[in-house]
Amino acid sequence: MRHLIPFIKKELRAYFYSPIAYIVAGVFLGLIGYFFYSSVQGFSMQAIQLAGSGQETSGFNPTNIIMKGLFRSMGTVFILLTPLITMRLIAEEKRSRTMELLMTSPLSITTIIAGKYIAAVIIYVIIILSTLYIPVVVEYYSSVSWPHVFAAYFGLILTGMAMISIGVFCSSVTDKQVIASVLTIGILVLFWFVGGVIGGYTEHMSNIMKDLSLFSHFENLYSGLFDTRDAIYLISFTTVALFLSHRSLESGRWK
Amino acid sequence: MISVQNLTKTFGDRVAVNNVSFDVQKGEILGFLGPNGAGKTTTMRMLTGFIPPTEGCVTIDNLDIFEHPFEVKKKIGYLPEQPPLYFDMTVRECLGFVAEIHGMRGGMIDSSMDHVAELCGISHMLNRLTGNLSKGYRQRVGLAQALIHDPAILILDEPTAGLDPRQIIDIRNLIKDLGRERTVILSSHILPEVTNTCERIAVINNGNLMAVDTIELLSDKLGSEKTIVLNVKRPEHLDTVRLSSVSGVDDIKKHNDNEFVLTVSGGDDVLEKISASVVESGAGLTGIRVKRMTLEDIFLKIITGEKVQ
Repeated sequence: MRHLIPFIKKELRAYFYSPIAYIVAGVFLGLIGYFFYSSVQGFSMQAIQLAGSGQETSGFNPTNIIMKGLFRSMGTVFILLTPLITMRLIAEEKRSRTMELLMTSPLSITTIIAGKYIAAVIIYVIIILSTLYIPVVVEYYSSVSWPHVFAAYFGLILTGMAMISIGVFCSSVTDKQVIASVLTIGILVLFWFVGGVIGGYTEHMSNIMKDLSLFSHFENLYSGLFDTRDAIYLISFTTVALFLSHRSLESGRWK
Repeated sequence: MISVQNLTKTFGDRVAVNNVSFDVQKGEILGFLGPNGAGKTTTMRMLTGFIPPTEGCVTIDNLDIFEHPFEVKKKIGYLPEQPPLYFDMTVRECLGFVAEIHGMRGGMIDSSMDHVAELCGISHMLNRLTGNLSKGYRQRVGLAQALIHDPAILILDEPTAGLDPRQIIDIRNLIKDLGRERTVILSSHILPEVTNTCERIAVINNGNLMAVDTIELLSDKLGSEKTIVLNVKRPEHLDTVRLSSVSGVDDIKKHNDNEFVLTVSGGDDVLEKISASVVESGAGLTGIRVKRMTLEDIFLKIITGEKVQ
């Protein structure tokens, strides 16, 4: 613990020195800002069409129409941005031989993995929380269901933590950043679409695959449905990926 | 202080280090000498706990490095062959980070940083990015990183590789100074480097430890043999059988028409007997000269297969 804080500080510094943090935040906020703009437009078009048409309007509210779609987009866009945050973490230490410095210092492999993981999660949480202006703006002009928004942000953070843990693992198996990022995207896309677009041959199989999918657990949370099973799945997923990163670094010393 | 027992490391089928044992006393400078690919770096990596040995163990102050990694690693300052620097940090940040992961805090870091920067001659470089420094300065920053937590043991892997002659002299002097209070192990494939800075040398080749001794003892053991070159005017008169019976003469070889090369052991009286014998035979002695083994000869002799007991 004593060594963990300076280590996290060093990792955070690296994010801001190399412009990675700014670029990821800029691209993410730009895209989400645009999605927000177009979904508000869509919402007002629909509102005009619905007005006086005599149709049922009980599900028609800004939280359902604007926010839900945005939360889903945030999750999906982050599949592509996660590797940018994580690919450097361990691969770069290996390539520049600074791993030798870390491994011969009184730091445990657990501290190294934890420090890098926590730094990446901090960057992620900062970026995700910067989108909080969206519900505030919606609340200002209309109204949002805040419990739904909090459940969704909770889901975004847990899902993002799971994605970053995969990124850390992929970075620990190679000393090349490109390989780490391609692997991360591959694994994340697989876990995102499995059970959905990627189905099984039988229904039973499909259900199992759906249970394994990151997306289906995220879906409940961003829909405003807080279920501890989803949270437990996402936390276990993260733990396994981080444990595998630890094993991968440890086994690297024996080769 | 450092005790290495039966250290072996294999990578797949390849044996990189084979059953190496030696001890290093407190305050000693030990030079690790061997050609490229001899197993120097692998041995040093095992000494620092970076990679675990396949067999054998390393103990430092009676603590096994794999049973008590944190206690042991605090005592070691390690400079790998390529200095481990974060190129996007300044020298000050690099040194500060290394100090922090060794558990140092606040004012302790500042005073220690000033001290090692002064020692390594990088005080005026503290605010430069390490990625923009020359090879020589990177090496010094690496050394400063290894020294910042004031370790009792310094392990330096080829500390002067790639430096210019002026920098080599600086670093050598620095290592000698450091060696007054610390135990130092350094590796090199350059002989003068080791003979200039180290008290004892360990010669390693193909993963095998060939010799560990002081330079004087090694040259005594291997250098007692001398080579004598004889020039004579009338070689047909030279009685080689009689000459080889002179005690101390081990071997006679005819080099060319007028020149003979003798391998002898023993002192100057052998030389006297040889010259007397040649003169008696009437071969017309025109020249006699003694060739002693240089350190290069000794080094070559060791690494080409002669194990020194």
